[in-house]
Amino acid sequence: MSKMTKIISIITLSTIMASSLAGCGSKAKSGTAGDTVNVSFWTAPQKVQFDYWTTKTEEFNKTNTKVNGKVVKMEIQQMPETPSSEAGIQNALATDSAPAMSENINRGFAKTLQSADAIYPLETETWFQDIVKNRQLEKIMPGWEIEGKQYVLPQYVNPMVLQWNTKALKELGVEKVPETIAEFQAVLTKFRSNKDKMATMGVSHVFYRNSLIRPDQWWDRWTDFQNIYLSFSGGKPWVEGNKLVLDKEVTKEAFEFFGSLGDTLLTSEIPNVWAEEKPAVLFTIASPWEIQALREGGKKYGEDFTYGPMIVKKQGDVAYNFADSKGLVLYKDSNITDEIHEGAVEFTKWLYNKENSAQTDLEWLKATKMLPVRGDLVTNETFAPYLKEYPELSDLAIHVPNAVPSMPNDKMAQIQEALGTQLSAYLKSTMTSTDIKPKDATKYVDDAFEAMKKAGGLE
Amino acid sequence: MKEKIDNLKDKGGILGWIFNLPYIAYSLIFFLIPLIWAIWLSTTDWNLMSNNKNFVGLDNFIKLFDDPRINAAFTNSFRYLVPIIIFTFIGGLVIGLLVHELPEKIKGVTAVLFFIPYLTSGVAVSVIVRYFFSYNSAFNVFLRGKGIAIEWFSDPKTSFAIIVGIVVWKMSGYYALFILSALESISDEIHDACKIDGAFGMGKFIHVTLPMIIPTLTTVVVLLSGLAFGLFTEPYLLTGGGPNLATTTWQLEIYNTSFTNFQSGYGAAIAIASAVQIFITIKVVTVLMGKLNKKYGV
Repeated sequence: MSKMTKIISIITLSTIMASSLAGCGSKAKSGTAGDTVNVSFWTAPQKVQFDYWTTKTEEFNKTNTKVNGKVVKMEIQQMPETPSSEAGIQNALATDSAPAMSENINRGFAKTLQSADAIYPLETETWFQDIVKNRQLEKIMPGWEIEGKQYVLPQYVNPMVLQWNTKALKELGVEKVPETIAEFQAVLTKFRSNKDKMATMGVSHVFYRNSLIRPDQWWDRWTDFQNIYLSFSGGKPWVEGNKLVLDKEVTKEAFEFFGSLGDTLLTSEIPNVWAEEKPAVLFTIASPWEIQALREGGKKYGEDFTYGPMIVKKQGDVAYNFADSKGLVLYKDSNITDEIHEGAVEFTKWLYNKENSAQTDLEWLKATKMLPVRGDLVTNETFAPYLKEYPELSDLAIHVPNAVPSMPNDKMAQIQEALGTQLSAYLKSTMTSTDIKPKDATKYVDDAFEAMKKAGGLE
Repeated sequence: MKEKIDNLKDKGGILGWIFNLPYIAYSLIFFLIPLIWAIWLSTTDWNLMSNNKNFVGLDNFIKLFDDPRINAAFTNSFRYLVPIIIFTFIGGLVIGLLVHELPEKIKGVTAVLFFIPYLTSGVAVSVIVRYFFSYNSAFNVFLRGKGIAIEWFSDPKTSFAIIVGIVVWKMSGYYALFILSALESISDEIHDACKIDGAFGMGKFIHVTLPMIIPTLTTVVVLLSGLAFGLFTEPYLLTGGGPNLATTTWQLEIYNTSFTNFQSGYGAAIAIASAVQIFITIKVVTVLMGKLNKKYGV
């Protein structure tokens, strides 16, 4: 073999290998090139959100905003789900290719990122304080604190209330959705004594919740257990720092609330319960992200379904609920220079400055049908026409001030799965019961507390 | 000419290395380096994000013994192994024998038809199965009409059986091709000799056909053992490993630990432990099948 042939062979092999590896990984495209600062922004892996952010970044890029004399250019891409969006961020941080900023971060994952020193604290920044003022977030931000600091700029919130089958309730002679335990038990009793009547409407059960017996679906404990716990306890937290502060007695009451459903609890899967011509249940946890799909499916708010608050113990109690809420964070990574970070800050400032903030939030609401986090959502005239057009959104908006985000603990998944395991075990012992008086849940709650302490390393 | 060949022989070492370089590089990049990295990762508490990575020695491995999820994954891997091997093996053998008996004209097409489930996406199959067993499915509505109400994925036995059923359905046609090719390789002379000796039906199958295809059956069983340890899509999409960890698998636990709980160090330890179990089990299966092959094979 001639020397030339050898060289050609080696070059060819190297080229093949290099090109075969070129597609590996998903990198954010932050960087500085000449007079431009490219700032990467990851959107949630949903088209509707990607489209919204495409419009916003294009608008921003037209402003020719500069940092150190260089033009800031926002570049967006959807979060890689490898295999989940959180794991996509984990992967990016591990390979020093994180974006400068992203949306779609809840308080729990923000705590994980904060523990890894991967996101910037925001509360001392003047621009952040201005945004808080512009969106009237003063009363909302304490709910987002992580160890006394703020890391997330809240963007949207779905207050997780209850979704009632209006037609079935009317058939039972119930005109107003139940709000207290006493009212709820009255509905349950009416259902039991009218089972045949309900069956003719296709309503076989009172409550549908497939994941109540799926501890692996730990995230659903936010919207079932935590929701009812929050309304029963007056919004008390689950974990504070390294302490399990869950109230044992209220936890037992929350377990027994689900236990009281007995054989009227449906856990077999129904893929789209509210899309069915005749929904099989009286109520579910609400799914606000389905509002548009339900409208397109011909379902009418107030006729087919109605949102109601979480059940409280007695009249006058505040119906706290879980906030399915996410926001924006700014990442720290070796590939993100100060200039790139400044570019991301400029974009955030532009989004929510005094002039733009209401419009930014209104466009978000129109695009996604998810409520923007604002203290003045119900009172600001900018939103009034749209909320009037969508009374279901308007009814949800009332519950935003009482919506509490997820716990700030980096072992949130393990803690919630530990509780879910005991809740599931308890419910399996109640699901054949026809008695409205629930089985005592003390043993299961005690076991859940032990398991949570062990899983989360909590005191 | 001779001189040229000798020259090539002398340089064969270098040429050999050059031709092997892609594979060596591939193995190095995608196997050896990740393996060493995973072993290192398993001795840390790193979550892949934090700047802090503490060396924890063998703590992650010690923790495995006390973890109910890992114990369940370990036990379940054998619970899956047995029915998957038995039913897929029987399914593959039956399909192989049936197709073998078909006229030549339609043999190929039929074999491909049985192969189609293997090509079907596990995600698509799982979604369809999920709908099939959902509360409002025609099947369940029919059963409830007959007074039978089954919560398919709430019962450990039915959920486990459904997952095994999907795997058996998906893989039987694939392994049938192996068996079919072994059956086809038995020469006509042997079939003729059987006729002369009066060997037919079951007798011929047990005493002639089976011994001749035992080497292929050995391969099928060994491959099936590996398959049973690699389950992920079906339990992930259908049961999440539940109820009560009855359907969890090694792969599911590695995924949850590393990407849901962000305990990447511990996840790496689980992956290594599973690899050890898979290696030992497959070795045992290979030895057993080898002995069977030696005793009864031709």
